[in-house]
Amino acid sequence: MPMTNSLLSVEDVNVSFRTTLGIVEAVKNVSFEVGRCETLAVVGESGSGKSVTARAIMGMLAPNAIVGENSKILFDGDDLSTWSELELQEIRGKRISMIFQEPLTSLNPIYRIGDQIGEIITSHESISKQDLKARVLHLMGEVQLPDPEQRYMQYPHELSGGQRQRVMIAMALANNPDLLIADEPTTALDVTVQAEILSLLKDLQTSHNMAILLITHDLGVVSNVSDKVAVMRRGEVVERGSTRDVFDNPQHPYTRHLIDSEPKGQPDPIDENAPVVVEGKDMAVTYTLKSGGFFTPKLVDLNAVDNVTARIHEGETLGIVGESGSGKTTLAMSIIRLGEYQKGEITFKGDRIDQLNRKELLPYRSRMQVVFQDPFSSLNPRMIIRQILEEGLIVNQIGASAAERDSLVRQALDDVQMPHSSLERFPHEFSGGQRQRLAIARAIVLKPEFILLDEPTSALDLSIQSQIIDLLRDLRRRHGLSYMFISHDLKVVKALCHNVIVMQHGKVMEAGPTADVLANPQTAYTRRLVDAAFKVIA
Amino acid sequence: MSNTESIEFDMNAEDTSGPSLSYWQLVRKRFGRHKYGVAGLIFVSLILLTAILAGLIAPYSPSEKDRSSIYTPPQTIRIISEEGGLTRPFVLGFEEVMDPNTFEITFEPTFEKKQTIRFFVSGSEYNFFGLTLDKHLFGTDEGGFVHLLGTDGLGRDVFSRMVFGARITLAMGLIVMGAACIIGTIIGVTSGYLGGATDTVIQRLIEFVKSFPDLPLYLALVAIVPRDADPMAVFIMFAGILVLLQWANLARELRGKVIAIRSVEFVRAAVAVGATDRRIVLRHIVPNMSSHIIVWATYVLPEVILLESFLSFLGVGIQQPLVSWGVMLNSVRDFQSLAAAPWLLSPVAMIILSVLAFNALGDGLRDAMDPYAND
Amino acid sequence: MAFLRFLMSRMLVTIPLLIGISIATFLIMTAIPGDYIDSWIGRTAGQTGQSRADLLPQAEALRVRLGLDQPLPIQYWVWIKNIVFAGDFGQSFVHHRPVSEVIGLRFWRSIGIAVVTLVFGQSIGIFLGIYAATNQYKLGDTVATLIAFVGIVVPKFVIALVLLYLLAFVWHSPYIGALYTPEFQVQEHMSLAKLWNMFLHVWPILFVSIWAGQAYTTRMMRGNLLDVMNAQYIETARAKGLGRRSVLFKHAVPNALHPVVMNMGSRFDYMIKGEIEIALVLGIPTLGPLIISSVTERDLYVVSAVFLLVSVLLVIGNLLADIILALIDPRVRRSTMVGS
Repeated sequence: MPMTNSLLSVEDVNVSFRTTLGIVEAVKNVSFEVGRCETLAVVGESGSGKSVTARAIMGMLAPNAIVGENSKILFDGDDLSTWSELELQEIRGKRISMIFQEPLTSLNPIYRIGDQIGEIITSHESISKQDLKARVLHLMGEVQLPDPEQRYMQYPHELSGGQRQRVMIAMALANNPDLLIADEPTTALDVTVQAEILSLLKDLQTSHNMAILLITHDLGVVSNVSDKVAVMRRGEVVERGSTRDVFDNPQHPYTRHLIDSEPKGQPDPIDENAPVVVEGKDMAVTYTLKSGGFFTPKLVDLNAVDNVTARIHEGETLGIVGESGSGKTTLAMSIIRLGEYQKGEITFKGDRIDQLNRKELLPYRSRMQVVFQDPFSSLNPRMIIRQILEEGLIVNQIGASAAERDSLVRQALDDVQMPHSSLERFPHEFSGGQRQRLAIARAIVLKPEFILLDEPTSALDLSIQSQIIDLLRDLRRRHGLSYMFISHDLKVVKALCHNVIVMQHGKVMEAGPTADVLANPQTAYTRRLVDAAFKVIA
Repeated sequence: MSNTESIEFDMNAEDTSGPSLSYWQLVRKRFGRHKYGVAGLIFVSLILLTAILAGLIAPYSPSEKDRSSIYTPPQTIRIISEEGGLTRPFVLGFEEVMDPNTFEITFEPTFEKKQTIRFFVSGSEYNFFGLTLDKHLFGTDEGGFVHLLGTDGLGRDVFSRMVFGARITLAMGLIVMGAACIIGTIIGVTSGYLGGATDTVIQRLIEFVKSFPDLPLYLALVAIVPRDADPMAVFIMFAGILVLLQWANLARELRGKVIAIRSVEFVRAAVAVGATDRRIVLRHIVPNMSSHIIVWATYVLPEVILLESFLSFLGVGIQQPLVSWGVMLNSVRDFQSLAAAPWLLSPVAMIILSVLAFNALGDGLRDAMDPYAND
Repeated sequence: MAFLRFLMSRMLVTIPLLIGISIATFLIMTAIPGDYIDSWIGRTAGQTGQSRADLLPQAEALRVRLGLDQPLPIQYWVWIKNIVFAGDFGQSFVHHRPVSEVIGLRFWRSIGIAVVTLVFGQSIGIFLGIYAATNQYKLGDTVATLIAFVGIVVPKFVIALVLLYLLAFVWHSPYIGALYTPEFQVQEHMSLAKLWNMFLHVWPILFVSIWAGQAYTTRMMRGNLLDVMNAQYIETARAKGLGRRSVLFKHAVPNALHPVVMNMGSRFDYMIKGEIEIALVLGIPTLGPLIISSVTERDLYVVSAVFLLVSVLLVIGNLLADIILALIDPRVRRSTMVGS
């Protein structure tokens, strides 16, 4: 076998699965190469087959998987697809390592960190206890985990998401592998942490002389970190090449479509003197949490929202940005009277609504609506779409007859560009993007003046995201709506929101017109967020 | 590489075609694929049918005594006549034969007492939804008896008693299951939805009921029922006692589910449009719990059957002349009858089969009721 | 120490529960028509031929002597006071001996059987569960699941009955209906021979109990293990290059075990009930038969004491399960407050 430059060469790989519904093809004729010390990104949306391909390389497919006859997985000259399980176990963790998307569930909750990192070493060589510990601590230092000595004895649930991912990386590096496969390593992490982890990976690649196969759906990550890219769609590689070439000059329509789907554009200008629609002044939400252990319970007060004021004018889209734990959702839910709060004055078009009870609040409900993040749990699976959309009309006694309600509901479907046939169907028959449209239809059928959108696109594929953003813009224009838009994605905020509030740990870090805040962040935290979203890593 | 045909990025690319399936239709489809569940369903239906048509199917009433046959063994249905040809189905009566060596008396079938089996014969009267009928599915016409499962110590036909016993056993099961379901649901949903002090109080109550040593309690309560009370009254009291302790489990499980569902987005969306509590509970929460309730019910029914059988077997449950499978087993409590007439154990087979059937049905339902899980 | 504090707080919750149960027990026993005196009258009338009317004055005197004429709350208070402060459970009317004597050995026998059943039942259940899960869709799984299924579905008293039949009429075993053969009955001290003799009498109960006991555990373990095998950290373990056995026993099984351990508390209660059920069929002198006889005779203090004791056992079982879980699950033990 001639020694090629490439470390890993995947040729004509086919993977199908035997299911109760028959044979399902997941990966069709996929080929790509990764050279030593190179980073190849495999990018695609859900269902593209990228994760299956990664697992096929390691021989870690599910038992009902069938790998095609002609598939070749050449690693440093050897065809891994012909290897036995025992032989594969030799190189797993030693010459090829893998890290996964969800750091919390990737670590065994009942063993200590130090032991788990050590395990990958002991499974490939015998080593004394002291040497082992020293090596583990050294690794922990390499991945920049603070207080390695202390962390060594801790359990996974005691670390944050970013720290856990560092632990995973430490594990993966332990035996100096030639290839690291990273399956969406940063998707579940906060934006600022994402940037740190990516930069860490880049550094480690150089210091360990390692190749990286990076699976992701995030184009920003691809352009930042990879040398080469392979674009996958529905099990096939539709385009391959160096990152620069593919991004500057995409050949395949799908690639072009993906790149196009990056949020772009500006929010429409609004009237300077528009009146205030909704305002939440000095909002405060405090949770009392049980902390401490089973034997030493303690009660701790957590200021989820700490004296925050947010105000939206007619026709405005206000973005509330923050990472997990920032309090942005808590704040929004309180303002719309869907969540508990301890303090605050909330006004809607001049009326005070913070002290109203449920009955008094009823007339306001139809005027302020909400669209949630998860399209799969925001529609009652037992109701047909017609019932879901009509519910608000029935409860608020809008539309005197079934016929009237029917026409209102159809109008709403037209607005979100969904067919009328949806009315008799159940939520499970629709895709995520379609369900989100239906959720939006439910909100607008009541003809509200204000809509709260809680990360409405975070759970959706990139190309669907851009469709929803366009839809939201269009609706706002046509119906004169005001939006409060919650997000962690600054790119989307830039495209949609006039003003933005940046939150961290329940407090407002910075606030102002979007363009200003993004161009000239005043606080370090905001600057980190902006960098993570827009800057290219050197 | 791939062709450059225009690729559709139609937003409705994943549009479904064909008639829409409601949740229950999906459930039915999935259930059909589950072999054991379907078998369980068939068997359960058979048992229910038997219970309803008991009067028709059983050749005799449960208290009818055949004084000529005490502790006689089961009679096999034969179709070969004495001469060797095929004839109408018949059974042979018994004569007592003494073994000359051991002086043991055994029953031997004899052609002297041949009884032809006829179908749709007239027999003892029975009540069917207010009508008094007397046609039975099968029986004999010459005033003889056919005992497919033998007779007990009083000459009563075991088969008939078993068929009628199904009625009482199942009735008990269904009543207790139904009552416990309703009570458990109401309390569980109330507790979970209202939260706060109501929840805490109800929680304590549930814990209390669950920590009660239930078997000793059943034994105590039913042992105390006076012997000469009306059997129907005993039946009702017995059912009531069982319900008293069964609802707690369901209530606890439903409470947990309600708390989980309460914070799911579609419920919050309903609040956001201004729905009342009543609407939310009835239209959003309960429908999403119905599968849980149904599955629980199919598991509780066999438990009640087992409990009733055991307690009646001990003599502290259903009282004569009402007959249930457990009551029938009561007559084998002493060794002698067990040795003399092992066929008296046949209700055991019915108990096991019905419990198996209900459990299989429950398993099938449970798997089918999660139609949103990936195949 | 923190552990003691936890124990204290659990006690605080448990004690009202026990009090409630004792009150309920007492109420049930006394509120039902007829008390011991009535059953005494019935029995004595039958034995001596005297009429009920004749016996009335004697009955009244007896009633006063036994303190059964006092108002209920006082009777209850006296009873509880004696238990808590003097360890005195009262007198059995029927056997004319202290209740503690009557219950005495039977109680320990019941516990003994329950504990043995628990230990063996759980162990067998766990191993069968692991075996079934690792052989899913193969013969091994079907057999193991079937064994478990039968244990759940077939009522214990039925298995006991069948066993009884076999023992009595097929195998002609001499070891039925008692705990020891007479020669060992009189032997005061425990010896190996005596222990073996007891085993020969008692093994049917153990057999039935253990079979029933492992059933639920097997199913649960199998289900848990199958779920755990799909967890992400199992994939991580495989990616580390660990062998199948390592992955299974080091990573999967310990995690699958947690709910099973949590469940052990309520398994204990199930063991006690099962033991009662089987003892009633096979005629072994443990708590089971005692409950029936003392209830029928309205032997107030015996019944109340038995109920109370069984409840205490159940509650302790649950408490133990919680403690064990806390000890082995680091998530429950340590702080859970670090940022999510």
